[in-house]
Amino acid sequence: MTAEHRRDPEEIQRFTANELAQHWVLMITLTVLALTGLALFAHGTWIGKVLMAIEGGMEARGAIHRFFAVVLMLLTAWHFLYVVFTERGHRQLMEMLPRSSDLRGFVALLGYYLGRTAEPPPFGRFTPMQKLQYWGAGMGSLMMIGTGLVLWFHTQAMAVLPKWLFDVTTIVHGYEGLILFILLFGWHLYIVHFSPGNFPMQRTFLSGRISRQRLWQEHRLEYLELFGDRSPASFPEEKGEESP
Amino acid sequence: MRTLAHLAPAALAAAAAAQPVPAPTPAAPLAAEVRQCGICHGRPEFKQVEADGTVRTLWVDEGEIRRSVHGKWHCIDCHADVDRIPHPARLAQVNCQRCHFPGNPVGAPEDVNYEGYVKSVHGRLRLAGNPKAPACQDCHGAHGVVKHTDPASPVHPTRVPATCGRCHVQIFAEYTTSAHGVSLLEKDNTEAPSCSSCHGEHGILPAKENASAVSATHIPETCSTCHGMTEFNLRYGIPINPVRTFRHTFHGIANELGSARVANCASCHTAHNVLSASDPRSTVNPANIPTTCGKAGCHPGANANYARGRFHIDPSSRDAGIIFWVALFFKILTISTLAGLGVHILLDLAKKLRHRHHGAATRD
Repeated sequence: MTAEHRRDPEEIQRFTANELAQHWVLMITLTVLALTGLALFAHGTWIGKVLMAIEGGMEARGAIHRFFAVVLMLLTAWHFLYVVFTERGHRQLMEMLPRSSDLRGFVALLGYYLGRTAEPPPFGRFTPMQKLQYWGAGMGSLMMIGTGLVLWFHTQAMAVLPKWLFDVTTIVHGYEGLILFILLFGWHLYIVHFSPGNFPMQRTFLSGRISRQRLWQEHRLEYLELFGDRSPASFPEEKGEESP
Repeated sequence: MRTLAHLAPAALAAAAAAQPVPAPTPAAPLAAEVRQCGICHGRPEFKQVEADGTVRTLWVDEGEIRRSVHGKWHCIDCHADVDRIPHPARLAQVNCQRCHFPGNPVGAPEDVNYEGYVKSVHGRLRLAGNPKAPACQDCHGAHGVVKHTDPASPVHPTRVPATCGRCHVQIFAEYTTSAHGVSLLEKDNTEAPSCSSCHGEHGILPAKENASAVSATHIPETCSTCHGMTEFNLRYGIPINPVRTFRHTFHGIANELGSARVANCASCHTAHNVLSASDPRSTVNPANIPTTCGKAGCHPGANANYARGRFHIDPSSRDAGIIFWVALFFKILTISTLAGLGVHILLDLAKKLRHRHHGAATRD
């Protein structure tokens, strides 16, 4: 498999090793946090019971959850330093900022889905969906860390918070986690693995590379910035990643 | 005054033997037989001074026996070790299993609880030779045994607390002033629990043993016998289902998974001194919540904040206040996310499949 997927000279390096590492840590951390959280959230269902058994019961489940919570906090700090203090990271953050064009682009995409337009709207380095995922995961993680710390240090927190606010925190932490899980897991499962042409997986998250063809299709504005209006087909060696 | 104090006290006979012995059958006319024993035991002044100086009456009220369920039986049917008169000073303790074993030929109610008793904390201590541990007659009565449904029976629900309280004095005192005790003993409400409602009857085990009905992990189930029923709770002005709502808390989940560290019903409400939260003496009265939550090993430093909010919350009920609305908001948000994501994926999928099909057709 690795031999088949040798580096394609037509691929463009889109993400750095640092960015890929952050993505890997986040992926593993959020998965473990979601599964250990779900064991508690869905405690009355068979899913919760199975997860609880796998995770070694209440105490072990909690220990694993808190360990990865610390990893998430460290990753958040790492990411924060990356986007604030490195030039590359800062540029990525600027690209990620939501703009009014994202909303227009998303509406245009729906128009394309419904057959109103023949071509999908051109997107930049990050599509509106990717921005939603990024800010959803980012803000969501911050909220989960904040509410999670209240739950973790409940005895200290309750010395300051009234009980009803603690109960609200519990509810927010549970549902917020569920929504993040649905959003991230559902969308990634589709777009990376099961979307037509991508099975078994779209490999950008492994290599950080993307084909010229895919960049042209999905990030037209970024492509135009890199290669001008020269279409991918005009490159002689182009073989087209989506060929069956 | 005639006493038997000069007679050497016989060694204490072993307690109830596990193996049933053949049951007796009624023989001589009762009146004649009772007259024989009654020569001594029919006299109210017949007493014995014990070695420690206490006086024990040896008078047997014949009327009490006649009114009891054993009215047709003879003294020696139970006191089977009497083979001559006068008999030795100390007779063996009467063994109820002599008749009440399953399959007995005399029609005595079959005691299916004996096995449970032997394994119980009472039975274990009794069989280990502790004379203070109760045998059958200590709770059911000796000569005056009547059915447990008879209000005169010491094991009738309204009399169980006093019966257990003969030994468990401190607990009886706590119980009598609790909501349960007041309801049963003062209001004669037999729906209210006596000792045996929670602890069991013959098979009582110490609370620290996991199999006990009142062990940390079994308490919620035991309380739910009554408090698991919404109709029951409403009848007593309890607006929520306390056991179901407990089951959804962190305490409840950990408890269900076998943790004895987390709070169970009795940790906050106490075992015997259960009172309505509105009662200022209650451990769950808002004024006492900080002390209750701050108990050693639980939440040190608990303050008045612990009482600022509701307990036993059902987030799906409007009574939960802000928690209901926050939960509702998040439920709608969750469903919207799921629906939005699903629709988006389907639209994308439909377009890509159509595009692919179309693209393949034009490429050929």
